[in-house]
Amino acid sequence: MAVIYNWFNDRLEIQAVADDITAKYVPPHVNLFYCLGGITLTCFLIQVATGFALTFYYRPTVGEALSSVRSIMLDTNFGWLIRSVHRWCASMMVLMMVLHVFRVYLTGGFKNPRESTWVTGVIMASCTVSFGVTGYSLPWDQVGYWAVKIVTGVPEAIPVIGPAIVQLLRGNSSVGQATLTRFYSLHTFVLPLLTAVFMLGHFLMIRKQGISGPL
Amino acid sequence: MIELLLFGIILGLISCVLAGLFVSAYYQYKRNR
Repeated sequence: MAVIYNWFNDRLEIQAVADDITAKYVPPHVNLFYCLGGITLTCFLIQVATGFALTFYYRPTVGEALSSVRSIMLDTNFGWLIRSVHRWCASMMVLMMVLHVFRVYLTGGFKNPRESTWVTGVIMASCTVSFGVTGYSLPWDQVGYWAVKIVTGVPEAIPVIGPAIVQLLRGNSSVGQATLTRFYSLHTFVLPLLTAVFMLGHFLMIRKQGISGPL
Repeated sequence: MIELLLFGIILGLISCVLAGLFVSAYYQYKRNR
């Protein structure tokens, strides 16, 4: 064991990383509510794992989306479990994120010098909501279809550039296959990538600045 | 479509966390005084 440890330590100086981790102490004002951010991260990791499993069986076409979801629920081994966990964990992730925002706001965790941590958090909150909106429509059932129709129609109210944004979101003048493809691509590629990048920044800044002080 | 269980979890957790945050703030205030 020591040989393996020394091999890595000689090349990567892992002892310095271990020293840094063990040198941080938990201040006495920290309570249960400081776990909410970590729970949100846990929810995100569960979403990544179950979502990855769902991509094996889900087919993002208007003709096959609903039948593939039905097949996941009825035919695929443990498909019902994976999809149900994905669905419930999505709601829990949004809820835990909201509770985390309550904690940060009420303990003043957003104040100087942690403004940029707050800003990355707000961007990740937008990503989380976008995950919800795009994921809700993927089964292409009645609620999903009408939800996407309403959501993509909202920017129409913006003067001058509104119609162009609607066109960009739908990939067409009306909701159809192009919209589903865009939502699927956003849900499984763009948003996870964006979230991962901002998450890295969020955590590095927390590591650098430490837990916010008592009231 | 409102899912009752989810609705209960959301309302219950929000009220518990908000109450808990204010109670812990009060305890901090009492300890520091």
